[in-house]
Amino acid sequence: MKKIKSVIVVWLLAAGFWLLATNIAFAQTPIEFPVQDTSTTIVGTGEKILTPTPTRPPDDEGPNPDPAPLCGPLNIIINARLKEDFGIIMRSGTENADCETRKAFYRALSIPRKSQTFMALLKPRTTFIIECSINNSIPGSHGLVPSPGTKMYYKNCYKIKENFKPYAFLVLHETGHVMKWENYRLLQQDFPRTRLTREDPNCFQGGVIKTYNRRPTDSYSLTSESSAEAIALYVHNRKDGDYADIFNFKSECPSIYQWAKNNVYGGVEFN
Amino acid sequence: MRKFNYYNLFLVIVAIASALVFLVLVVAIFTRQAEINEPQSLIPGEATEEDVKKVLGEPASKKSEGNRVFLYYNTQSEDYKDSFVVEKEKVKFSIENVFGPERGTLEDYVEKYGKPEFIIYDAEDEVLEWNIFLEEGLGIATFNNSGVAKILYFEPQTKENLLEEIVPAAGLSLSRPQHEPED
Repeated sequence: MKKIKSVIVVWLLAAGFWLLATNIAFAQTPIEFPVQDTSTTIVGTGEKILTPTPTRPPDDEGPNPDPAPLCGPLNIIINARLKEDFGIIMRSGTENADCETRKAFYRALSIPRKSQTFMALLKPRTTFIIECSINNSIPGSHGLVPSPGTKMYYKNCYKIKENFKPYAFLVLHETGHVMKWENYRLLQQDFPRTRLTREDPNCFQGGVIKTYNRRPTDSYSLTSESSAEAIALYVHNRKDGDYADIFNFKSECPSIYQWAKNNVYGGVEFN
Repeated sequence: MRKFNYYNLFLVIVAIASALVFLVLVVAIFTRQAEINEPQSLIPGEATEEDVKKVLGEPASKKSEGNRVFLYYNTQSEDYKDSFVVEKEKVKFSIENVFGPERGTLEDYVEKYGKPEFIIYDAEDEVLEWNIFLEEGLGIATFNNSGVAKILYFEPQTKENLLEEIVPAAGLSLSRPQHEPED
């Protein structure tokens, strides 16, 4: 009996020793933060994502926007909802971003909002500013996310009211750039552009996803723009680009689609 | 004849095994900590092109520009290459791509070396900020003011010399790049 007790004591001591040693070791091991959906697919790593592990929402029937909230007097309500729901502060530059414009921006982002993984990548900590400016010399709308990634400039924001879908696409592309600032490794450094070019060769031109309306030549931009374009294409599934079109992103570009599905949208599909 | 005491032998084995495991883990912690701040072994100004090839093998590609030779080595990413620039037979500078936390954070370098002397930017990548530690011969490219994406290794030198001799060739700039807008 005495011997059995001694054996038990020794094993407990050894186990305690082991636990102490492993805790010391792993306490100093940096934690890679896996963003995991309830589909149990590891969707990649991100730096400084502070939201808790998301749960997978139900699949949507199609990429239809939610109704926008009311604007309220002086756009108080819509502004509050843009900030609370998407981290957006919308400002009028030389263009007055009126109630309907603000609602359209809200609706544009309400579509990908169905993915909690997307929302976790979009809203880690900080807000970002959307500033609208009028430019009568250009027919379309431009978006730009300059440094340090907290401001998004649009020329002719009002266009989104007149022709929602293409400008909703642009909003999501530019939002992809904002997300890149907070998720640099996932959306820039780890974006496997060369591999995807090999696997979906018909979806690229000049090293960038072909629906992107410019043809940059530096490797950073080729990756940055392809990443942002993939984020938008995944949701909208098509784009009539200036150089080339994609009519069914899911079937025409399966590898890029899979990258976006696994790494940005946590398995949630919109098409 | 006294019976061999297996029980005591068992106790001794368990004790030694536990002690060994603990020792291995402790050594692993401290060697890992050292790795964060330890510069690569191919020291600019000392290592030659031959030294680089001895350590890393033949480069994936190579180019010559003036009196400089650029050696490019594959990394875990097909889209990024590490580079060594050789001038007058010695490594002038090198750039290492970092894909995880193995090289620590900016805070680790600041804690060890103090604040960087100045910050420059990547000529292409609008996100990265290059924190220059002149005396240590290190440039730490960070995102979100913390994560390390690239490391520039160079001989300790003056700011003026760095800006003239290395910054342009390393694809760096005093100002952030401006990118074209999306239509």
